[in-house]
Amino acid sequence: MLKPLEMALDRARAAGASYADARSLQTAEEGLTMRNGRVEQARSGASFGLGVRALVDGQWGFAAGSVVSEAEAARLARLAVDIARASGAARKREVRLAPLAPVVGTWESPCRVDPWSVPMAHKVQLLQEACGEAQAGGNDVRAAMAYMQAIRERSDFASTEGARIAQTSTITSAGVRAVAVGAGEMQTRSYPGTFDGNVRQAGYEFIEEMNLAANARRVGEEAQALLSAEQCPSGTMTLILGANQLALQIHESCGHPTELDRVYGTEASFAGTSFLTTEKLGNYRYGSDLVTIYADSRIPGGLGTFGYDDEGTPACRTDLVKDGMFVGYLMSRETAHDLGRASNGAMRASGWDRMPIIRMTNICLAPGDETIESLIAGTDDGVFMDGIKSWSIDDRRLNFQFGSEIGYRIRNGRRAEMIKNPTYTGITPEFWGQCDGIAGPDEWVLWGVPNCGKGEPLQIMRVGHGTSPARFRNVKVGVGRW
Amino acid sequence: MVGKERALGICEAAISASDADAAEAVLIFEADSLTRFANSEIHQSSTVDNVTILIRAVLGTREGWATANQITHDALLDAARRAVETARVQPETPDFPGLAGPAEYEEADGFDETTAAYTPMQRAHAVSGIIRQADAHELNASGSLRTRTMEVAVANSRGVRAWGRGTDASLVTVVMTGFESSAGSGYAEAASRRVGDLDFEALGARAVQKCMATRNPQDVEPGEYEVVLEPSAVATAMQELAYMGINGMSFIEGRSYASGRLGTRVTSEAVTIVDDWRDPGTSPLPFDFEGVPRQRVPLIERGVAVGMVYDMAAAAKASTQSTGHAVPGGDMRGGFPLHLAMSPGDSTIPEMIAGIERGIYVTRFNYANPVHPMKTIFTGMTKDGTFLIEDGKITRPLRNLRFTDSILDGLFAKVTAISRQTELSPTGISMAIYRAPAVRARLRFTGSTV
Repeated sequence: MLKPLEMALDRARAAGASYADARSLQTAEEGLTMRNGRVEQARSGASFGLGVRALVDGQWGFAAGSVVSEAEAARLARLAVDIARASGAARKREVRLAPLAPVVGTWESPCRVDPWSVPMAHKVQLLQEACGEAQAGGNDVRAAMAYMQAIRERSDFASTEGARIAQTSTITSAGVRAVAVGAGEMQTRSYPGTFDGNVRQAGYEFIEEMNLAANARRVGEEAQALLSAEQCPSGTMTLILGANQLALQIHESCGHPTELDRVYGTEASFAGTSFLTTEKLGNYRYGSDLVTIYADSRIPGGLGTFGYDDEGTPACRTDLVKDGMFVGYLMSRETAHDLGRASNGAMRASGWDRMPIIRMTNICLAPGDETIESLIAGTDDGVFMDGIKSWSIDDRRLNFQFGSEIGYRIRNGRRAEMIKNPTYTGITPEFWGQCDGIAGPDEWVLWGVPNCGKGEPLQIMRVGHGTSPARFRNVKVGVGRW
Repeated sequence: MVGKERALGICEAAISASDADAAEAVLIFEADSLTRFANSEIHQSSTVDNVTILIRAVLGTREGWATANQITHDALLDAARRAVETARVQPETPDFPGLAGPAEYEEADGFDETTAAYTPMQRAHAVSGIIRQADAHELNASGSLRTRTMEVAVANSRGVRAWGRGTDASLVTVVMTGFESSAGSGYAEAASRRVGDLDFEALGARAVQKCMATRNPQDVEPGEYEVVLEPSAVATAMQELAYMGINGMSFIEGRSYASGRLGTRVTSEAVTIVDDWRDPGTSPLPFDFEGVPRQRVPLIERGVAVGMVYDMAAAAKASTQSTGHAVPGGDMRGGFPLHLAMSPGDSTIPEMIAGIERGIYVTRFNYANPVHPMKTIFTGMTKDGTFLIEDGKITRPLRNLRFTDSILDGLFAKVTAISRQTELSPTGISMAIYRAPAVRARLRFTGSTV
């Protein structure tokens, strides 16, 4: 595989690139979705391609194609250089890269049971059982879905600085969902979480450990019960978020605003900017003293875990918020140089056909010392919400409004009746400033989020979030007219 | 480009490589070029070529899909084998409708040579013009210019042979005074299948002018207001409506706004929405990804829900015919509209503003997402040009506002005027461009940024 990459680097250098890197990616994928016990989609995918990034006179150019050969690599390298030169027509500054010692290495994610070694009939049976259980959860369950996916990626990376890195990743996911419809209402419940159930860099063992069928009946029953549940009240009260919902909260209100490219304005017209501007670094209160949020691309199994990012920077851990103070960014070599730092390895491309941009790795809320029971016991009047259902946040990542699949009223320290369509809204630093309890490591869950969108052309990235449930005081819940 | 003869030849080779009872092959070629600019300079520019082949194998009533992006004999054989293996272990699907039969397709060529041949240097010069306009006012310009060429071929063992090609071009730009909360921000967008239709100078001028008018935005109390929405905001609402309920499978399962409501009033009488692939300016693909002729489908006619889009699977469940709205590879089963258009009215934006005593003018929506699909409730923020309207005039800029409302029961139910002029909006989905007018309506705002 290295020959086309070497060819790309040679030709890019010869055409005038001061720096170039080339990355090939070979992907195999297998997906199965059952709906009401029947196959909705059974799919096997294969993809292969090569992308070349060239820096010429301080400007980037990127070209990619699905034919991986030395001749095509040479063509792509020349095209990337031409594109970079054209970009010079609107040049105001030159890109500089923070120094990086080139790595020659390999990395492979853990995988105990190869998903491709498991007979398809076994997978179909597992999903059919889960579908059946979910459907049996209620007479109004119209759609019971169970799904699983396995992906294997092999990437090769080479740079003109001498990096030569091969990485192999195996990713599995599975989940079950029930949709109940009745009397003008529609309600959904998912297990383990909303986005593809849950997703991890692991083998088939991860799917088996989920016990889909054993949890599917409850999913169907909750979807059914939500149809006749009370509407979420409107008002300002204490909010306890389950781990799945809190993963979204971290993603949107901490992960994205700490991306340094957003801060520097290079996503302004699409993904947006950030309120966490550089003068705030180290001296801005982001949340309460309890709140520590970090990026860690070394967590075993995380969707944001790797040996090296797509610039060849080694995986590492970085504090983003420490004891409530904003202390760190997700960085590339280019943005790190502009900040006077070293890259912390957050450059990732969603495929061979995309230029790497700053992405989340595994963005995690450090566990506290409470339990879900103690969080509820310490709440006189509030709501509990979990299961990601709806999300929206402004372009600077301040005003957010999120919705959950399910909620419960909390009265006098006890969980009370189920509520439907729960939503909450707030302003990011105010919200995190009102965090007064976080559950401990026993309730900490590592979530895989497979659908983070950013960049143009759009890049759908897999990222990870670790969190346990947490409590927030004085939150506006029940937004809108129902 | 692959070309008609070769593309269909590859599909036929893929079908021949399959030992299934029946097989279908879809080839999608895309050449995607995009130049991004930010901080008034180009910072990312790329060109990507890819070709994907999707093979569907049918064994009795069982289906399996396989994809590949290597067009070699071995890769096609491998994909055909994987599709059959996948189908073989599936349970029977009694209501499987089978593959589409051969059909006549209307002649339509959405291909524009100039767009297909547009170079990185041409893109750079085009965005440089916008940057120069921003520089002249010491403003910060960002955005992207995209040109794409797409080619689609569909063939199956029942004799379907369909081929089409198209181009599209889109420009979005955001011009800002800075990144702080009090910064001004203006927006302009345009889309067409011909890059020559995009007036870069005019778009830049529009974004600059709006940016300068939005400096030092002020607060307004949340609540329901009369609004004037520019076409971009209306197109976003239409796209959210499409995700929430313009899908045959959702309709059958009772999850769509139209479930049980066909023939009844769902919006203001002023609103007519149709999915029309022949709309000039959009990419006119006359068939879908199952090879079914694409139909013009009225969805809402003078406020009444009148139609739904279907692929073959959803149509079979509904005992009707596919409307030619299948998407590739069995994704989003039920169908999806790629050419939504809201019909024009007889008003103008100045007339709409003039008729409002106290209201809000909205340039665009940002980060809109469904809250409750069946009730068509969505939320999002206004962005890049939100203004207070007082006594028939725009009086001051406002901070970006959060809205939470039902598209049908709220926003579109309260449309009182629609502009004569419509605009094409990019959707981010390949070959999907929506046409929208400006509307005067009411919208519930539930918060504001800081």
